[in-house]
Amino acid sequence: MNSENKTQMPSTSAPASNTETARRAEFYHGLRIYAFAGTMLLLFILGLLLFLRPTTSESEKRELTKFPAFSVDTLVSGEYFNQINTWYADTYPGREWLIGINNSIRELFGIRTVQLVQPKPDLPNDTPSDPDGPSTPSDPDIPVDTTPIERLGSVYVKGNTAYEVYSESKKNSERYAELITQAAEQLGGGVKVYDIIVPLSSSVNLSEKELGQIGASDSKAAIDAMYAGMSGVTTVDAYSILREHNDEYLYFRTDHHWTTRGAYYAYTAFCKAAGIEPLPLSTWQKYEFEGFLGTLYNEADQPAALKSNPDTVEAWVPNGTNDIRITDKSGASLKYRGGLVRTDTDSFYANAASKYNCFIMGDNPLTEIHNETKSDGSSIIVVKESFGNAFVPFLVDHYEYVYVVDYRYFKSATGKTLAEFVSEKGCNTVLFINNLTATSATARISDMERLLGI
Amino acid sequence: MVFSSLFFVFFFFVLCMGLLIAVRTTKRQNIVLLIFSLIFYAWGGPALLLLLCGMTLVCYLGALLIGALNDKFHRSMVLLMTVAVCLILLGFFKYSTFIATGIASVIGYTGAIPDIVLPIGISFYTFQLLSYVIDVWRGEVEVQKKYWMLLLYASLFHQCVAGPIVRYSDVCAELEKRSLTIPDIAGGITRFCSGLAKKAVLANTCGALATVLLEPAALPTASSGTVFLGGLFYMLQIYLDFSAYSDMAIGMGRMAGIHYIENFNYPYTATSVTDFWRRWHISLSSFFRDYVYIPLGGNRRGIPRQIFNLFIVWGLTGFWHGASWNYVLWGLYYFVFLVLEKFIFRPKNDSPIPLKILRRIGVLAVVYFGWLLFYFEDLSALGAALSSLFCLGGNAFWDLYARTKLLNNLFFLAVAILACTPIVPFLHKKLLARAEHSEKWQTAEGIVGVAAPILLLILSLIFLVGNTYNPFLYFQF
Repeated sequence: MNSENKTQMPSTSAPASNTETARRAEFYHGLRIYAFAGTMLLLFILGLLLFLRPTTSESEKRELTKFPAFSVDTLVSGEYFNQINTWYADTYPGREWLIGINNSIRELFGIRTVQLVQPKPDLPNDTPSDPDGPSTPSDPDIPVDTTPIERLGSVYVKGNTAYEVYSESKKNSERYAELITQAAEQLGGGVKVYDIIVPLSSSVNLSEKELGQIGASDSKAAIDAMYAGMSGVTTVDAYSILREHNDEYLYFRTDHHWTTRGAYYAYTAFCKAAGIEPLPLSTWQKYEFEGFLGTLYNEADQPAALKSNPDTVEAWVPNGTNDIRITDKSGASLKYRGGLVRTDTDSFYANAASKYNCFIMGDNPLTEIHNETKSDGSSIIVVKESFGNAFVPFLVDHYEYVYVVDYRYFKSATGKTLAEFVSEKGCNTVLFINNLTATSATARISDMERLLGI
Repeated sequence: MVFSSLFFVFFFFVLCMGLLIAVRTTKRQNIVLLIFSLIFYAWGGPALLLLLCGMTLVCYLGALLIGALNDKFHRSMVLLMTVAVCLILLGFFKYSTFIATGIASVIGYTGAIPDIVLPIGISFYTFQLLSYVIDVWRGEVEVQKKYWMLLLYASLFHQCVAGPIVRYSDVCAELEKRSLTIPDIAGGITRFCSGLAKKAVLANTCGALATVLLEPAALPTASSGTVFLGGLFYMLQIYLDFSAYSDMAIGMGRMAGIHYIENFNYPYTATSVTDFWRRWHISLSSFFRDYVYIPLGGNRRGIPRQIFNLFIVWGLTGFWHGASWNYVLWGLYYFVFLVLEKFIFRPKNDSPIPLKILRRIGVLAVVYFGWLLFYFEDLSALGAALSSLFCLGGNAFWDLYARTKLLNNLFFLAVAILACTPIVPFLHKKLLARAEHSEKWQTAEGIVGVAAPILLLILSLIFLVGNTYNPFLYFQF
């Protein structure tokens, strides 16, 4: 690499041609210097164009590093300057585009028909309950969802499908069962408590053998053990019915969530447990949103096989109402017409990564739905993380009021515990709907404890 | 600041080069370089700059005094004191936590273990300053009369924090007076860009793979293939990472008219363990050779003394890498192989080819296990890794995880391995040979020479955008 010296030394034997050679070598050396200096200068200037710098990342669902606020402490520790370095690289103009190219180059690193991706470490500025976060939908034109995605297990990619792999924490599973039992005790005998544990895509779609090969924990055994550990709770077996129908489109191929169809089967299982007659899908008007590339697509570093086969989000709009009232993370309450299932998702959530937000406008501390076609005062409180979003619309035609509590944000936004909220609304049905990763995640267990005031 | 951060490459370095070109004279360039170097160093914590300036002051005064004294005894006493102060500072900042932990475990009192942040690059600049003072004492270099010039030598951002360990005698003339030549700048550009890409594309990727494959919690149950691949990626990472840093340092030096010594010479193509150490981190091994091994008597005082000297040198080499037992063991591990090679299995040059191939594989195996020892500061994790590697823990030999990781990165692995061989210089030489006789080939060589650095630069940008923090491995030493 450093053997250029050879060309610059004119030898005495054949001066004429060698002078010519040396002259040309010098020309190319000069050209190299100008080309390099020009490129560096260009990239230097590009880096200074602050208005070109992005502030959020759609694909990673996070706010990008901010330019640090000055303080003497961070200056002395060196953190201030390090933060500048991070900010510079994290928000360089065109980052999303460059990262896309980076991922396309990585596709060429090897044969990528099957991949196993470990969970990514938390990013330094990943602040899940940041009260000043910009993700509150106070302005209807701001559908940039920067809510940090839930912690995922490892991701298994085979062909054009990515699966989230379940990795159980026994301690957290046991704690989850305890917490639901405690919730039932707090709410007392007058309130009927249901629990649905939602299995992951891998648990439902892959064979036992394959699950063993990728090192997944046993979902069925874990769900059974958690249900067995609960008392005073009506448990709903979603696993069996989903597994039974696993030749249908129950989970997204590029996202860790279930599809609305998957949620529908869980709804029928819930109806059975609650003694309600489930409505057929044909009851409702159906919408489709194409071109969805979800969390697993980004988690697995945007595999080409997924990119060329994006998901389609199916949605069924309830007949009773399509309006919602949202309490956002700042505690402000806002009404959204057509917000229950957004039929204008393709324009409202134009980004390929946000299509799942079409249900109840994503994750908000509290969502209230009033079905004015009913007047029997019936109500249900659904305690959920994002898997519940696709499930909620199916309940709307059965109750006058549906209250959706996102247990990750509810307490800090409203200041209320679940028991306080239940008695305030005089509600006698509470449904917990939680996915398997959430039941094993320490952060989610703490969120649940906060909601219950434990 | 690290060389592989976009801020460094596209802001700091561009500004620095712009100013260097603008000011023209060597003296003014030196002032620019000094200011940029001090900012560079202070970036990670301004307080530690005091230590660098202080140690430089000690060596500056020590050397002045040595230069002023005529009598041998006093000169030696001053040398001894200066060296002692430097080593005590190094020892305090780098090793006191380790030593205190050791003492605490013996006496059973753990309340007095200090928590000291390792100043970046202290192992490198201490050795650089030592070489200066010792060379002054030996009468091999002139005394530097200007403090700021010595500070420039010690703090020069090209090599201050991770080598090469440049000796004062190698650069003092160029620090005083130098000129920029077109071939030098052009060569420096190529060197800088290839170093940057080596780090951003190859080393970081190898590092990420090694980290997931050698995940400590998974080691006891990991398949043999997983651990083997993890070790392999680490072996590639450590060379690519460290040599990339040296490439960038040497390249930036040439762009500024300063020539640093080569630090690596394709160590994984070594024909013996001895040969490996002639090719790996050359500036460190030659430092120990010239300032420890030879002063101790080298091989001139009989075989037992030579073995003792080797023992000291390799124990120190290990310990220099970090305040942890695994580094000392790693140094002594090489001591064993080097002694075996020197006195028992002397490699012969006329062995048949299969034997030569076997020997190279043997060298790579020695180096491979050396890196495993180097990787795990926690010796119980090393135990778990070795147990899984040899399938002693009832774990699988090969599994889906190892298979997917290998297949997913098969072509990358091939490129990374090739990058450890002299294939690029070899092809370049071929191209140059053709270019000598044909204008067409010369044009081709010229165009490759212009385009390659730009492509590598853009490629590095693509790999570094959004990348939060990936320091060079040798920053921790």
